[in-house]
Amino acid sequence: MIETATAKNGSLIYLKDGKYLASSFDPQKEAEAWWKTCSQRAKYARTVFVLGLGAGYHIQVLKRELAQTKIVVIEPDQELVTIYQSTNSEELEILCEQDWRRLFNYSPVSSGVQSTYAVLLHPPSYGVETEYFGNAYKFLLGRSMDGLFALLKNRPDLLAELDEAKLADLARSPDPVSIRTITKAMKAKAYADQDRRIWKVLEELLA
Amino acid sequence: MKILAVNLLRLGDIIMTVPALRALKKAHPHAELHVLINSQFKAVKELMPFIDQFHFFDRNNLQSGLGEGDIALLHSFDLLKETVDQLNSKKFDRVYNFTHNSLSAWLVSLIDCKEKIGLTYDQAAQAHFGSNWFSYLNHQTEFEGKDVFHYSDIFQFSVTHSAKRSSLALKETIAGRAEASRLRANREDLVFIQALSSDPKKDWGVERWKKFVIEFSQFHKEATFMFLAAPNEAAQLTAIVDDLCSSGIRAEVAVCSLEGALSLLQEGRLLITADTAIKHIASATQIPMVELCLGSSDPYRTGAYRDNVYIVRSKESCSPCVHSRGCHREKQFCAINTSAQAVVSIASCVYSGNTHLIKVVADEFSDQIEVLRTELKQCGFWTASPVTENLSESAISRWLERCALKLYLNSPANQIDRSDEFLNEIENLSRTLKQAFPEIAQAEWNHIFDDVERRINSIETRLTGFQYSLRGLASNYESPQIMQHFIEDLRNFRDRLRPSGYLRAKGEALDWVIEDERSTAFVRYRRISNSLNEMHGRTQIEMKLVRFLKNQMEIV
Repeated sequence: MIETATAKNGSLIYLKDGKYLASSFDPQKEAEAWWKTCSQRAKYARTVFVLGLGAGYHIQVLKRELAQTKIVVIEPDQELVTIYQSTNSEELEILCEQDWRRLFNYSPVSSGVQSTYAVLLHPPSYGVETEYFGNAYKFLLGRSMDGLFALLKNRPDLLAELDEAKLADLARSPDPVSIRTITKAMKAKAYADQDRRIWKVLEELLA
Repeated sequence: MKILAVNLLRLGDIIMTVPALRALKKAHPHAELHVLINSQFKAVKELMPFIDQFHFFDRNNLQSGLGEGDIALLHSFDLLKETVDQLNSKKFDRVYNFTHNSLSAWLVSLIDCKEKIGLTYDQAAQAHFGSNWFSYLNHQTEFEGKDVFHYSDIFQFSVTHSAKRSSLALKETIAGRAEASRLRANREDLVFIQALSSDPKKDWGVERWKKFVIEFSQFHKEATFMFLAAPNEAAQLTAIVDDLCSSGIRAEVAVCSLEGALSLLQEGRLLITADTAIKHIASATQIPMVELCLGSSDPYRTGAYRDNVYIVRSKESCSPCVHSRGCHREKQFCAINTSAQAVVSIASCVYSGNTHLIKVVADEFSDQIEVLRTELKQCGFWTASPVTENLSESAISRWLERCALKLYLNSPANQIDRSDEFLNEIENLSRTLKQAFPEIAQAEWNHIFDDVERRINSIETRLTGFQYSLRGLASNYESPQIMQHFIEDLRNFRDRLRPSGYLRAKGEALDWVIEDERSTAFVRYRRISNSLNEMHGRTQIEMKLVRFLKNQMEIV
């Protein structure tokens, strides 16, 4: 259940099941501090997925800092989205889906992952919905096996470079998903394809 | 026309390509010259305004994306693809790869351009060099020694065969001048010290620097010492400077930008530096300079690319050691055995302008160090020669070998007989020899060249014999007995060359094919064949050089 409250500095904030979704003292200051922790990751991305709507102050900072970047907010709580939209008139792409496994089914996600993107976790939201946001985070980053397969399904160009049998073997491995998961699953073939040579450059960077 | 030059190494390496980039600009004045460098060195852009456009390879960001779990798995892939697309949108007509490593070779393979010079890979992952000079660069990493070309020369020769060399010139900026002026504060007699490098193996050690300053200041009380530092090095140096100041010595730490450093160095009395980017920046100035060559620093490949720099080189047998690996000995003897006293003596001569005394100092400390003096020779290349060197067979040999190799790499088809390039080379070489050894009379030169000609002739005859034997080996290289027999002949040939100062280098060139027992029979045959063909080609050029040189020396 979502409740509204006023922070010490007078800003409107929300609580979910009694837990704050933003700082109860100065949510704007909290949002600025959050931006500092993730600006490096976000500034190279064409699309930024933000996990957690919170009270929206961190989104305002993002919109200010990344004017040219597409921002997509992912929030599983429809009630929060409705309340937020009733008090904020700005245009914001919010994707409300309770099952994180289905996130790639939405076009803002499937088109966003076609080029550089970043996934930013909003800590107060994570504190309230730890399991959902924790899983969604790894999934969208492609850092879980489920996420990797979902990502590759959306990137058929890359999938064509991989040997499905090798990939299936790697899926059973307890090792965490990393760039090496992909390079190990590469088909043994010549380097005519541009993507294959891009992977070679990345392998050299890893060496 | 659009040209892209790629250099994905460190700051000093980027600066070492400046002569080649200037030569490119001179050779193609209407071309757009683009340069791709690592983004962490983008500050160098201000010093190179003759470049039309810089592009940046965001290595740190790419590497973060590969290793950090908080970054999208495909982030680096997508980012690199964007970089490549951006480069390809420029539609380059020619690409030079001045970075001799696999990473850059794969990156260059991604650029849509018909003409690629420097290491690149094809679709079968086969390496291509696009120029004899880059092939030579690849080969020279396999052997050690001093008879190699400086990287700046290799890059420049790969760009143009013009006898007119381009200089390592960097442009001062207004901001740099203002920064330098503030740091200099109207003081004279400034001695700059670049004590720290990015590779600890190349460092002399802060305590030795401290000792150096104390001893040096006893002879030159007027001197003020400025330790140049990057912001992250300042704290380490401040401690020494505080100690020195408490002893009454004028010393300070100068944290400055690249632009500031270039302007600051223009008016110093002396720079003493390890193998650092500052050394390469200082090569664009006329500041008297002493370079300490320790660890993996290789004076012959990466020494200060300028005239009259004195390089103090350790005589430890392991020096220079392998790059990118720690010192394998219990202590870093190359630093320990280069005494502060020796460095003070040499630096003092350079500071006071008494460079004629350096030979005496070098002799005095010859048990621990060798002192080299750099020269940009009239014959078109840079050299670092021992200050104690006199006319000898090996000195003459070195000049002839270099010139012959340069002509050979420039003209693989051996069509050099009376080309302008060949005649220019003869003229320049004769001037260089006369300048290097002014006391030698014409009759003596004639005698020397007759002797050299006789020796080269005997080698050429033997090499012609090997050419015939090679034809026999072509169909039998898989027979271990026949291969062994051939190698035995080569070994005998090499051993006969060794006692001669003049011919020793030629014998050494055969070492790597004679001792190669790991390669397959075909690879070994191919290498032997290539080595002998190259040796034959170079020897023929040397023969022509000597014959023309004899006449030319009489004219000069």
